[in-house]
Amino acid sequence: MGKRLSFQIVPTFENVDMVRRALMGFCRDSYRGEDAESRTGDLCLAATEAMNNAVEHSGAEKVEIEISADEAKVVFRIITKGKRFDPTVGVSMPVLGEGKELQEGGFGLAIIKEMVDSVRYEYVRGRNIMTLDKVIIDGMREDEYGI
Amino acid sequence: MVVQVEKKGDIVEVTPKGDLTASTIDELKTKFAELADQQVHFILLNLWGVHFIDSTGLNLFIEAHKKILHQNGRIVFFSPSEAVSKVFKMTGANQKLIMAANREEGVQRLHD
Repeated sequence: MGKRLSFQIVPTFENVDMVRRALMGFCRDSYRGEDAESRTGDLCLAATEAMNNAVEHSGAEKVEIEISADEAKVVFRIITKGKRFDPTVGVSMPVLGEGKELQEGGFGLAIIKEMVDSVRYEYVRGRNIMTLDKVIIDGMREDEYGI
Repeated sequence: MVVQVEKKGDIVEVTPKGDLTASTIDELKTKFAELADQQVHFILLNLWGVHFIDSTGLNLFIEAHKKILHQNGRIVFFSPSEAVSKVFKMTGANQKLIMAANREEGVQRLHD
Protein backbone atom coordinates (compact mmCIF):
# COMPACT_ATOMS: atom_id res chain seq x y z
CA MET A 1 0.00 0.00 0.00
CA GLY A 2 1.56 3.32 -1.06
CA LYS A 3 1.67 6.55 0.90
CA ARG A 4 0.10 9.77 -0.32
CA LEU A 5 -0.07 13.45 0.60
CA SER A 6 -1.95 16.20 -1.20
CA PHE A 7 -2.15 19.98 -0.84
CA GLN A 8 -3.86 22.86 -2.49
CA ILE A 9 -1.81 26.04 -2.14
CA VAL A 10 -1.94 29.65 -3.18
CA PRO A 11 1.08 30.02 -5.50
CA THR A 12 3.56 31.99 -3.38
CA PHE A 13 7.25 31.36 -2.78
CA GLU A 14 6.55 31.02 0.96
CA ASN A 15 4.18 28.15 0.21
CA VAL A 16 6.82 26.57 -2.03
CA ASP A 17 9.07 26.39 1.04
CA MET A 18 6.26 24.88 3.10
CA VAL A 19 5.61 22.16 0.53
CA ARG A 20 9.34 21.44 0.20
CA ARG A 21 9.61 20.86 3.96
CA ALA A 22 6.67 18.45 3.79
CA LEU A 23 8.23 16.67 0.81
CA MET A 24 11.53 16.39 2.66
CA GLY A 25 9.86 14.62 5.57
CA PHE A 26 7.96 12.38 3.18
CA CYS A 27 11.15 11.44 1.30
CA ARG A 28 13.05 10.71 4.50
CA ASP A 29 10.35 8.19 5.38
CA SER A 30 10.53 6.65 1.91
CA TYR A 31 14.14 6.57 0.74
CA ARG A 32 16.59 4.20 2.35
CA GLY A 33 20.24 3.34 2.01
CA GLU A 34 23.34 5.46 2.11
CA ASP A 35 22.24 7.83 -0.67
CA ALA A 36 18.79 8.45 0.81
CA GLU A 37 19.67 12.00 1.86
CA SER A 38 21.08 12.76 -1.59
CA ARG A 39 17.93 11.44 -3.30
CA THR A 40 15.79 13.47 -0.92
CA GLY A 41 17.76 16.60 -1.79
CA ASP A 42 17.51 15.91 -5.53
CA LEU A 43 13.74 15.53 -5.52
CA CYS A 44 13.25 18.51 -3.20
CA LEU A 45 15.33 20.69 -5.53
CA ALA A 46 13.44 19.54 -8.64
CA ALA A 47 10.10 20.03 -6.91
CA THR A 48 11.12 23.51 -5.76
CA GLU A 49 12.04 24.51 -9.30
CA ALA A 50 8.74 23.11 -10.64
CA MET A 51 6.76 25.02 -8.00
CA ASN A 52 8.75 28.22 -8.57
CA ASN A 53 7.88 27.90 -12.24
CA ALA A 54 4.18 27.58 -11.38
CA VAL A 55 4.35 30.62 -9.09
CA GLU A 56 6.04 32.73 -11.74
CA HIS A 57 4.36 31.58 -14.94
CA SER A 58 1.14 29.63 -14.41
CA GLY A 59 -1.12 32.56 -13.58
CA ALA A 60 -3.22 30.06 -11.62
CA GLU A 61 -5.03 31.07 -8.42
CA LYS A 62 -4.43 27.66 -6.84
CA VAL A 63 -1.83 24.95 -7.32
CA GLU A 64 -2.52 21.33 -6.47
CA ILE A 65 0.33 19.20 -5.19
CA GLU A 66 0.30 15.42 -4.88
CA ILE A 67 3.12 13.44 -3.30
CA SER A 68 3.02 9.67 -3.32
CA ALA A 69 5.34 6.73 -2.90
CA ASP A 70 5.36 3.02 -3.40
CA GLU A 71 8.20 0.55 -2.95
CA ALA A 72 9.95 1.72 -6.12
CA LYS A 73 9.69 5.49 -6.36
CA VAL A 74 8.53 8.79 -4.91
CA VAL A 75 6.28 10.79 -7.23
CA PHE A 76 5.77 14.56 -7.05
CA ARG A 77 2.91 15.94 -9.12
CA ILE A 78 2.04 19.58 -9.64
CA ILE A 79 -1.27 20.57 -11.22
CA THR A 80 -2.44 23.97 -12.41
CA LYS A 81 -5.64 24.91 -14.20
CA GLY A 82 -5.46 27.11 -17.25
CA LYS A 83 -4.13 27.25 -20.77
CA ARG A 84 -1.84 24.51 -21.99
CA PHE A 85 1.73 25.18 -20.93
CA ASP A 86 4.37 22.47 -21.33
CA PRO A 87 7.47 23.66 -19.49
CA THR A 88 9.45 20.54 -20.36
CA VAL A 89 9.75 21.18 -24.09
CA GLY A 90 13.10 22.20 -25.47
CA VAL A 91 14.87 22.44 -22.15
CA SER A 92 18.60 21.91 -21.93
CA MET A 93 21.19 22.91 -19.36
CA PRO A 94 22.78 26.25 -20.23
CA VAL A 95 26.36 25.64 -21.33
CA LEU A 96 28.94 27.25 -19.10
CA GLY A 97 32.05 25.66 -20.51
CA GLU A 98 35.30 27.32 -21.45
CA GLY A 99 34.82 30.43 -23.52
CA LYS A 100 31.11 30.64 -22.80
CA GLU A 101 29.53 33.70 -21.24
CA LEU A 102 28.26 33.19 -17.72
CA GLN A 103 24.53 33.70 -18.01
CA GLU A 104 21.86 34.36 -15.43
CA GLY A 105 18.60 32.48 -15.63
CA GLY A 106 17.46 29.45 -17.56
CA PHE A 107 18.59 26.91 -14.99
CA GLY A 108 15.31 25.97 -13.31
CA LEU A 109 13.80 23.52 -15.77
CA ALA A 110 17.19 22.18 -16.75
CA ILE A 111 17.88 21.38 -13.09
CA ILE A 112 14.57 19.50 -12.87
CA LYS A 113 15.60 17.23 -15.72
CA GLU A 114 18.99 16.56 -14.15
CA MET A 115 17.66 15.83 -10.67
CA VAL A 116 14.92 13.29 -11.27
CA ASP A 117 14.60 10.00 -13.14
CA SER A 118 11.57 11.00 -15.13
CA VAL A 119 9.71 14.22 -16.01
CA ARG A 120 6.30 13.95 -17.64
CA TYR A 121 3.80 16.55 -18.79
CA GLU A 122 0.12 16.01 -19.60
CA TYR A 123 -2.74 18.39 -20.36
CA VAL A 124 -5.99 16.83 -19.22
CA ARG A 125 -9.37 18.64 -19.19
CA GLY A 126 -7.86 22.09 -18.78
CA ARG A 127 -5.29 21.00 -16.22
CA ASN A 128 -1.50 21.12 -16.70
CA ILE A 129 -0.02 18.13 -14.90
CA MET A 130 3.74 17.84 -14.40
CA THR A 131 4.98 14.63 -12.80
CA LEU A 132 8.44 14.07 -11.38
CA ASP A 133 9.64 10.58 -10.40
CA LYS A 134 12.67 9.72 -8.31
CA VAL A 135 13.40 6.04 -7.82
CA ILE A 136 14.10 4.72 -4.36
CA ILE A 137 16.81 2.21 -5.14
CA ASP A 138 19.70 3.15 -7.41
CA GLY A 139 20.23 0.98 -10.47
CA MET A 140 16.58 0.07 -10.99
CA ARG A 141 15.61 -0.19 -14.61
CA GLU A 142 12.64 1.73 -15.95
CA ASP A 143 10.65 -1.48 -16.53
CA GLU A 144 11.26 -2.42 -12.89
CA TYR A 145 9.94 0.75 -11.38
CA GLY A 146 7.13 1.19 -13.82
CA ILE A 147 7.88 4.62 -15.28
CA MET B 1 17.70 33.30 6.21
CA VAL B 2 20.14 35.12 8.46
CA VAL B 3 23.08 36.98 6.91
CA GLN B 4 26.16 37.90 8.95
CA VAL B 5 28.58 40.50 7.62
CA GLU B 6 32.08 40.96 9.01
CA LYS B 7 34.64 43.48 7.74
CA LYS B 8 38.35 42.64 7.95
CA GLY B 9 40.44 45.38 6.34
CA ASP B 10 39.40 45.69 2.70
CA ILE B 11 37.72 42.29 2.75
CA VAL B 12 34.11 41.68 3.78
CA GLU B 13 33.06 38.18 4.77
CA VAL B 14 29.38 37.45 4.21
CA THR B 15 27.86 34.38 5.85
CA PRO B 16 24.29 33.48 4.91
CA LYS B 17 22.65 30.78 7.02
CA GLY B 18 19.54 28.87 6.02
CA ASP B 19 17.86 27.87 2.79
CA LEU B 20 18.56 30.19 -0.13
CA THR B 21 15.39 30.22 -2.21
CA ALA B 22 13.05 32.63 -3.95
CA SER B 23 11.25 33.38 -0.68
CA THR B 24 14.41 34.06 1.35
CA ILE B 25 16.73 35.68 -1.15
CA ASP B 26 15.91 39.33 -0.47
CA GLU B 27 18.02 39.50 2.70
CA LEU B 28 21.20 38.49 0.86
CA LYS B 29 20.33 40.55 -2.21
CA THR B 30 19.97 43.63 0.01
CA LYS B 31 23.33 42.95 1.68
CA PHE B 32 25.06 42.70 -1.71
CA ALA B 33 23.45 46.00 -2.76
CA GLU B 34 24.61 47.69 0.47
CA LEU B 35 28.17 46.43 -0.03
CA ALA B 36 28.15 47.71 -3.61
CA ASP B 37 27.00 51.13 -2.35
CA GLN B 38 29.89 51.08 0.13
CA GLN B 39 32.34 50.41 -2.73
CA VAL B 40 33.36 47.05 -1.27
CA HIS B 41 35.37 45.22 -3.91
CA PHE B 42 36.51 42.08 -2.14
CA ILE B 43 33.91 39.71 -0.74
CA LEU B 44 34.34 36.28 0.79
CA LEU B 45 31.06 34.40 0.73
CA ASN B 46 31.03 31.67 3.36
CA LEU B 47 28.57 28.99 2.23
CA TRP B 48 28.90 26.42 5.00
CA GLY B 49 25.52 27.43 6.47
CA VAL B 50 23.54 27.16 3.23
CA HIS B 51 22.13 23.67 2.98
CA PHE B 52 19.64 24.23 0.21
CA ILE B 53 19.87 26.47 -2.84
CA ASP B 54 17.61 26.72 -5.88
CA SER B 55 18.19 28.41 -9.23
CA THR B 56 17.09 31.75 -7.77
CA GLY B 57 19.99 31.59 -5.33
CA LEU B 58 22.38 30.49 -8.05
CA ASN B 59 21.29 33.40 -10.26
CA LEU B 60 21.94 35.84 -7.41
CA PHE B 61 25.49 34.50 -7.05
CA ILE B 62 26.14 34.78 -10.79
CA GLU B 63 24.74 38.32 -10.84
CA ALA B 64 26.89 39.33 -7.83
CA HIS B 65 29.99 37.79 -9.42
CA LYS B 66 29.47 39.64 -12.70
CA LYS B 67 28.73 42.98 -11.04
CA ILE B 68 31.76 42.94 -8.76
CA LEU B 69 34.03 41.74 -11.56
CA HIS B 70 32.82 44.70 -13.62
CA GLN B 71 34.02 46.97 -10.78
CA ASN B 72 37.44 45.29 -10.77
CA GLY B 73 36.60 43.45 -7.59
CA ARG B 74 36.16 39.80 -6.68
CA ILE B 75 33.80 37.57 -4.83
CA VAL B 76 35.09 34.18 -3.70
CA PHE B 77 32.69 31.42 -2.70
CA PHE B 78 34.11 29.09 -0.04
CA SER B 79 33.18 26.09 2.10
CA PRO B 80 30.09 25.15 0.09
CA SER B 81 27.87 22.47 1.58
CA GLU B 82 27.35 19.25 -0.37
CA ALA B 83 23.98 20.46 -1.68
CA VAL B 84 25.40 23.77 -2.89
CA SER B 85 28.41 22.04 -4.50
CA LYS B 86 26.08 19.73 -6.36
CA VAL B 87 24.13 22.64 -7.90
CA PHE B 88 27.35 24.47 -8.81
CA LYS B 89 28.80 21.37 -10.50
CA MET B 90 25.61 20.39 -12.27
CA THR B 91 25.21 23.82 -13.83
CA GLY B 92 28.92 24.36 -14.49
CA ALA B 93 28.85 27.48 -12.32
CA ASN B 94 31.83 26.12 -10.35
CA GLN B 95 33.96 26.64 -13.47
CA LYS B 96 32.94 30.28 -13.76
CA LEU B 97 32.56 31.52 -10.20
CA ILE B 98 35.70 31.83 -8.07
CA MET B 99 35.63 28.92 -5.65
CA ALA B 100 37.73 27.99 -2.63
CA ALA B 101 37.69 25.06 -0.26
CA ASN B 102 38.11 27.19 2.86
CA ARG B 103 38.61 30.75 4.14
CA GLU B 104 42.42 30.67 3.88
CA GLU B 105 42.31 29.61 0.25
CA GLY B 106 39.52 32.12 -0.32
CA VAL B 107 41.68 35.01 0.89
CA GLN B 108 44.47 33.86 -1.45
CA ARG B 109 42.10 33.67 -4.39
CA LEU B 110 40.82 37.18 -3.72
CA HIS B 111 44.31 38.48 -4.47
CA ASP B 112 45.34 36.04 -7.24
